[in-house]
Amino acid sequence: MSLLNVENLTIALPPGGERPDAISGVGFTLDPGEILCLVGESGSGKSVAASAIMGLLPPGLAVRAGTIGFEGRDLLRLRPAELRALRGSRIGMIFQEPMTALNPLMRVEDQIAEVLEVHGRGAEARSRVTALLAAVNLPDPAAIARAYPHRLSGGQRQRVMIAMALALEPAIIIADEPTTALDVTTQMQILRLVRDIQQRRGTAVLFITHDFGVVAEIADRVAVMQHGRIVEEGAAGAVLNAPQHPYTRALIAAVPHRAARSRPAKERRKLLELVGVDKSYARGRQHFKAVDDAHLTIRQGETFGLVGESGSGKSTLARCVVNLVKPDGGDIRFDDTNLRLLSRRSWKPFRKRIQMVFQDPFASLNPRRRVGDIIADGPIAHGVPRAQAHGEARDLLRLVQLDAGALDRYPHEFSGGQRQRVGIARALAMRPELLIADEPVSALDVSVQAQILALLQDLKDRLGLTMLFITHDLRVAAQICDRIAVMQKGIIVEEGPTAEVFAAPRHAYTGMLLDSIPGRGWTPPEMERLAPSSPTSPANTA
Amino acid sequence: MGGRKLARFLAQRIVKMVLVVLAIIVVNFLLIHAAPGDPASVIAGQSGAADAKFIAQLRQQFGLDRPLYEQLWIYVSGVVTGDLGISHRQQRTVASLILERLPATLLLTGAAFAFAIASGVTLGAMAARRVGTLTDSLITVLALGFYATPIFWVGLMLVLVFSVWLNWLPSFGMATIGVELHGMAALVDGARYLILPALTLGLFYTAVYARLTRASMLEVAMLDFVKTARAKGAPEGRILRRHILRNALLSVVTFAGIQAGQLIGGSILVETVFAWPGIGRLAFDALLARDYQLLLGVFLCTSVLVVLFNLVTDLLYAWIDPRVEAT
Amino acid sequence: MSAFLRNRGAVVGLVVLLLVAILAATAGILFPFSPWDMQGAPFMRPGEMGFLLGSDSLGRDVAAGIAYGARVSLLIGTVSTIVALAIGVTLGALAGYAGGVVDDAVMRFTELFQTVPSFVLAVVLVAIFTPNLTSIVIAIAIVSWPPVTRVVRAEFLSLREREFVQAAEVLGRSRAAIIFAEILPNALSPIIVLASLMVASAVLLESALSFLGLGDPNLISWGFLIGAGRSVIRLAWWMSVFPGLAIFLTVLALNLVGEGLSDALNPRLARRR
Repeated sequence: MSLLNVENLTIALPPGGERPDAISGVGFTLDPGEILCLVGESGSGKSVAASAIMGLLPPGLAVRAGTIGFEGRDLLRLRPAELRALRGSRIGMIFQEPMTALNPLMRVEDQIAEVLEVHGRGAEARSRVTALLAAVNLPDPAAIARAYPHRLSGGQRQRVMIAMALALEPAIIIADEPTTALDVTTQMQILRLVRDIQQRRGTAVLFITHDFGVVAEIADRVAVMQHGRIVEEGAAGAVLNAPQHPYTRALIAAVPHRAARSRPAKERRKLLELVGVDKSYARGRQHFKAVDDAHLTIRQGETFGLVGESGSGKSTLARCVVNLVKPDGGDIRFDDTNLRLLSRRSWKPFRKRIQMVFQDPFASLNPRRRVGDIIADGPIAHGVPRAQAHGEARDLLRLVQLDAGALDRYPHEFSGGQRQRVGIARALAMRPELLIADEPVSALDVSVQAQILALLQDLKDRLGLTMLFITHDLRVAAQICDRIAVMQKGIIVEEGPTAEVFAAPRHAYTGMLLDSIPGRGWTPPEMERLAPSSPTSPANTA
Repeated sequence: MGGRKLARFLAQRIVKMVLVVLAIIVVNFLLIHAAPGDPASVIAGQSGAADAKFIAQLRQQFGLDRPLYEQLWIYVSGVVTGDLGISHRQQRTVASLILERLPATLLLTGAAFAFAIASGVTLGAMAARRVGTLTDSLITVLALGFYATPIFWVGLMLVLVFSVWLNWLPSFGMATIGVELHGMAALVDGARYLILPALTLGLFYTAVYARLTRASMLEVAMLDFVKTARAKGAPEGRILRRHILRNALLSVVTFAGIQAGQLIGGSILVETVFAWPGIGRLAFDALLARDYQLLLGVFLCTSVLVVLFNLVTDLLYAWIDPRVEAT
Repeated sequence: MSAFLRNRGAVVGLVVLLLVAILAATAGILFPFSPWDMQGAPFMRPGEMGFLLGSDSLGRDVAAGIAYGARVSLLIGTVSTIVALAIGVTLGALAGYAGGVVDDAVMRFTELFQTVPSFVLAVVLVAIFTPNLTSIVIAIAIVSWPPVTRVVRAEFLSLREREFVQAAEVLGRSRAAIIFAEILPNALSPIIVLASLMVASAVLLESALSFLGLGDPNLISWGFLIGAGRSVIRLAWWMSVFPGLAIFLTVLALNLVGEGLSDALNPRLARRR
């Protein structure tokens, strides 16, 4: 007997959207005490489906058909007051962004107490709040209860959200990408907490995610969504290891393998050498070290990975290398020149040799300039005649598998993956020797991610580039980096060939990072990837 | 915020306040000297009523034959000890004139401000709650209208309607002359005189706060924690009060601080129209008489009032918003 | 552009502004005499003796005063806004781009000007420098530039950290190219919206100044007309009502245009209105 029974749910988008319905004909069941993962990329409609259950659809989206059966009633036919009585007491929900999900003006205990008060059990509030905070493994529950949200970290806030959702012991918890905005170690803690809740309290969980690793880690059953429809559904083991639908197969094929590459060690010349680099920032009265005594060596021709969670200093270090951030101390030797001591003018020739690809495809291109101009900017700034620069821009577009028509279009006309290709073309226009890629695929859907990584790998081999690859995702690092360095709180704690570091980590933090990779125990089955029918067809380049 | 942090915050703000006031005094000084002509005749006014003796007296008082920085020092130390100069026209010290008229202005601006905040926030909240309906459109249009009308014209129109045509309310002054009233009767009488001027000054700001509250509430309603509150099953009324309104009020408080200066400036116009005996009216008289000492004295006084008001709103904001850390 | 036109209020505002501008431009044709000249008997009611909107205490045509006054209001409104923008954008860009000590200095300076009650300062400035067109324009500009600086600074601060600006740095583009080709075009939208709202408040400010008698004595303006009508309001209400309506309509139109621009340039916020 299913706890939740969604049948034929169809929800319309406002006119002018990319398709008529946000979701159409969606149906799935959730049994008591099981974890169902709803997986899909952005735009698949998974969040809409989840919001519909609680009646929390954003304005403009209307339910056109379907039923949602819960405890003998159709949730879509309930009156607002009845639905409200269910929210928080029989069905709880937690959201994606912990940093903005709590009212900044109310103490934590008041916000948790609110769930109880609203459902007529306010008298129990005082006694239960601390117990709830302890149940979600928060240290010092009494202090956290009295605190305001801005004092808590993202992981702590998410736990508070879970405590709020659990307060009235609901039958179901809907979790809408609750770990996407968290660090990988924190994510693992939350995932374990969710599994714990399921086992100890028998709560059913509907868990929305885009990450198959997370699915492998906690799901009992899986439903895969694409373009508003469910394309595949089944037990986790079956779907993960023997996917049937082409889209599922493509998604799983795109998951970066954990299998670390072992490359023969080549003694090439040192291209970039960092010695004792320091960078501190002042926050009010306190100083904190973003980068602390960093040493690393990158040899020509290799892909060097810099791995760490947010706040580890990896982006700051990368920006020190390109002079976007001025280090306080240390040497940055590029081919025997110390870059740190150069003036802005002396830096100019080095701009041709070191270039950068940025993380956010939506913010890294000037929205008011055409793609052709964006790519030609760099060479023109270094004296290349305009016509020649634009001609070369055409060639570069072909190199990154975009068609020449893109030259005259504006960034907003392209998808995230396509914009990232433009960003790569822009960097390559300078013909650099060293390419620094700052989390170039972190903001992309997983299928697009795979394409861009393949592109980077391909370009690197063809053009003989050296790459410094920054990422927080160890799986990605395993796939394309020859050597990696692990950073924690500004310090490089471990460094070495990827395969070695993965097989036998020496530092405790590295070990913890490796343990936190979701779905460690699952090896994605080998499948031939779907080959694109032509390199430049827009249907296949994302 | 804890007690000690609050004290430190307060101390920091007061220091800043003192610096600002000093800077304004210097600006005052510069204004006198930047004007075309001899500062003494600027101060004495070009009305021709100033006699040579007075001008010579001024010259000596300001030490105009001394180097500039010495003059500055004389001026600043004078102001700090309460010496704002003498109004030649009225033959009294500027300081005493201002002190005499200040309470009337405080009453007027206080009443106007209270009215504006109360009505503005209420209307703005109503409009936000019923966004897109007729009520919302009506309130928005009204707010837009009052926002576009010059304050002095509103005053004149109110006088025209309520005083000239309907004869319900008096059109000038602060109290009925020629009668000695006490207690309740005095209060009611005073209130009758206060209504039109306070309304005039307040209506513009009602529009400002209504628009601000509405926009702020609509913005806050889209934030994540409101969705969280809904997911908890909280009814809309509770969400509006505890979650949306509270957070929206933060920007209202900030803005109120910024508007304070304009409110006091507006009192010049309102007091002129209604012959209200406050410092605004004093400034207008000073203008007519070319009594620049007095005018600059009023300028300084209003600036200090604004600085004080800003301090109060800063403290209020720090009290309401726990994210403000007094580092 | 099309988004702007879809906003009915904004279109109405634009039409009204055009009408006012046409009135100002054709004042000489519609009323081929000086508005200061006596045209007939004093205190004529609207419609009497050829006076469309009545005559004032000296027999001057109120309608003519309004038409010629339109020139003054629009002129002062736009010129002072341009000057305020010039000051504000320069300082704001400087503070936002340079950061550090320069930013602190500019912000302290701006805060000082924002603390002082702006209208009182304008009155003091015009009074001391004797009222004429130049002093009024400069006075209004001086009290109006601080909000511009704040907005421009905020935009520059946020844009400076945007990745496409960082990319331009990494490519080796010159500082000038970065400011003018990358940052400024993206900072323009809020400046444009602010500009239209500033013209509105400049018109209000100018009318308040001339109401108090601080207008240029050679130029007839709406505020002056209202001020002149104040003492005889019981006798001749039309002297105060019509010029006030003119101010109201012009300022309202400017505000509507400003909101229309804001909605057109910020579609995300506009959807909620």
